[in-house]
Amino acid sequence: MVKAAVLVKQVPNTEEVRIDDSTREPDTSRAERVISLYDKNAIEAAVQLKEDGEVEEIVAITLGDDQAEESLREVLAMGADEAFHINEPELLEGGKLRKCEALAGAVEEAGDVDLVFASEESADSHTASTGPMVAELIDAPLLSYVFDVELTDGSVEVEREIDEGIETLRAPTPAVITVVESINDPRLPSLTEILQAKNKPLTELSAEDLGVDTEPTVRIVENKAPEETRKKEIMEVDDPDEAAEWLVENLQSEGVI
Amino acid sequence: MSTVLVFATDEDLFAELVTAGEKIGDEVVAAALGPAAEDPEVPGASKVYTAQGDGLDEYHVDPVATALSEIVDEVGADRVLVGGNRRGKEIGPQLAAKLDAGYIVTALEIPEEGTFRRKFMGGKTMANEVPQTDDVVATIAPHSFEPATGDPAPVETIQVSPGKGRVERVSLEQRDEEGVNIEEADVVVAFGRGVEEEDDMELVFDTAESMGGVVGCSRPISADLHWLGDDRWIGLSGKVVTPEVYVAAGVSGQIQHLAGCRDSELIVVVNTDENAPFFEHADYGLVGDLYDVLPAITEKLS
Ligand SMILES: Cc1cc2nc3c(=O)[nH]c(=O)nc-3n(C[C@H](O)[C@H](O)[C@H](O)COP(=O)(O)OP(=O)(O)OC[C@H]3O[C@@H](n4cnc5c(N)ncnc54)[C@H](O)[C@@H]3O)c2cc1C
Ligand SMILES: Nc1ncnc2c1ncn2[C@@H]1O[C@H](COP(=O)(O)O)[C@@H](O)[C@H]1O
Repeated sequence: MVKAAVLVKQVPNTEEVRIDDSTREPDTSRAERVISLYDKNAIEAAVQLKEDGEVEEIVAITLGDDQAEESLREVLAMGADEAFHINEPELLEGGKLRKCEALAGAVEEAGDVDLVFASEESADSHTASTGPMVAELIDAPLLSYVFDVELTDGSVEVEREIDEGIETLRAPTPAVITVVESINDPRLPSLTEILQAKNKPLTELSAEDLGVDTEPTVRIVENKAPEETRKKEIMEVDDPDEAAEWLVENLQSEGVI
Repeated sequence: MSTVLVFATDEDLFAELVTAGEKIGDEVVAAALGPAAEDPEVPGASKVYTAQGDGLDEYHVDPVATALSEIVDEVGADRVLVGGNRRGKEIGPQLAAKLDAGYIVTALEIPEEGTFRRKFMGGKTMANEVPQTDDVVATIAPHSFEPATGDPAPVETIQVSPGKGRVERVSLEQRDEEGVNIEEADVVVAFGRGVEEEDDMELVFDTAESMGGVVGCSRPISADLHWLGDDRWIGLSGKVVTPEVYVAAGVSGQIQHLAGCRDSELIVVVNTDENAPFFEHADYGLVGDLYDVLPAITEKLS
């Protein structure tokens, strides 16, 4: 049986993260929690393989706090069969390595996974390192920046965009694949699917269950938004010619054109 | 004593990595693998180790990371800096996992030894990160450090046995570089999904020409629609530009895009939606249709 695991991260909607005026620090408390943008492409890629009969079972894995369960339900609604929630507050800070050890542990816990999907980079911390690290930790080949996947018994062929151009790669499974947005258009689950997702199995795991150390490898000691001062002179365009004249005059008096 | 090993798959990045390496160690050595091992020139480093091997020729991530970990052991390095292009960003984390090292991604600055500064929260903030481990691996964002000068380092061949790896290259279709250097331009006119059809890009090119500038774009235009190449994609995961004027037409201005243009001297925004986040970061904003406004600007200037 061909099994896929999909790594999904719940993130604060970065557009709704406010910056505190006095401290310049980000405040995520009022930002809606969403599935990281391109993770939906990762799920969609797995679900499409399942619809094509190439994959039989999909396990979604997330490392996140209590609220992350909501995102897992969303992934189950999109077509995952089962979910693992690593709910370990101590792992939420402290660098990528231990997090990836936990994710790799959960992949192993899922048993006989042939393909692991993640997105190229997450929307909030964008370290672009989860796919590569998990591949190393489960000793599987890595295929990253992928926009096309084909699975044929025991091997996977992908197309990806790398620094020099478009590369086609082949590797035996199990393999880890990180996807970019052009791979597909993620579906919106139907109401029925959302309701069905409530009854799909969801298992919580701790660092202890996975035998992972929680000592930090990296600490963030400061995190602030840079100061920004813009003129914010805004004009409603009624007559495009007038608007163009206004803009050009301003740019000319600034001496930039 | 701390030894820093620097590595890149793009030879142009070596000299920048040497400068960054000098900030965090006593000695900087380089590893040039595969194609870069032919005739490496690394100014300012004390030595360049070269190695050849099957998987190294094609920069497959697993053999490269394995070879680097062997070199780290051999030379006793405790810091590794990797050039932060796409290949670097897949190699760095694998190497960190092999070495059980704290991993820092796309550092832009090294404010003091042991601290790395990078964009965070989609680019909204800058974070100072401090590794807590003995060994450290960091990728360094391209063009963040002045290239080192000085004599090319002496070359020594080193034996590694990374194996071929399990990934096989079926083909590589080299990209035709258009050769636009958007990072150097004084005027950048960028567009996003507000442009509906590929042919309509003409409007943006005309305006850019009339302003003496070059055209840039948001991520979906390049990464998803492939209307323009990577060298015009601006933002967190694309190019960072700081022109005198940045015009953004039909770009919503989400933080990941802003991360690539926020330090421009002047920002002009054209958007039909008065609530587009970009207006918060505009010097001059035009709430209107780019299909009307851009031609009017072009006309006015020609
Ligand atoms: C990890 C990560 C990294 C990312 N990196 C980048 C990056 O490097 N660069 C980047 O750009 N994005 C990046 N993104 C994506 C980013 O979050 C946005 O999704 C993207 O920038 C949106 O592109 P857009 O503004 O072209 O499209 P949209 O958000 O769809 O905006 C289109 C805009 O055009 C306006 N519009 C529509 N019609 C007209 C018209 N006729 N005239 C004028 N205005 C019109 C609309 O009002 C809207 O504001 C990243 C995302 C993630 C998660
Ligand atoms: N905490 C997490 N839980 C599950 N998956 C994750 C987590 N963090 C990262 N990922 C996956 O790895 C991708 C890249 O994230 P990052 O390495 O943080 O940029 C994400 O888009 C997810 O697919």
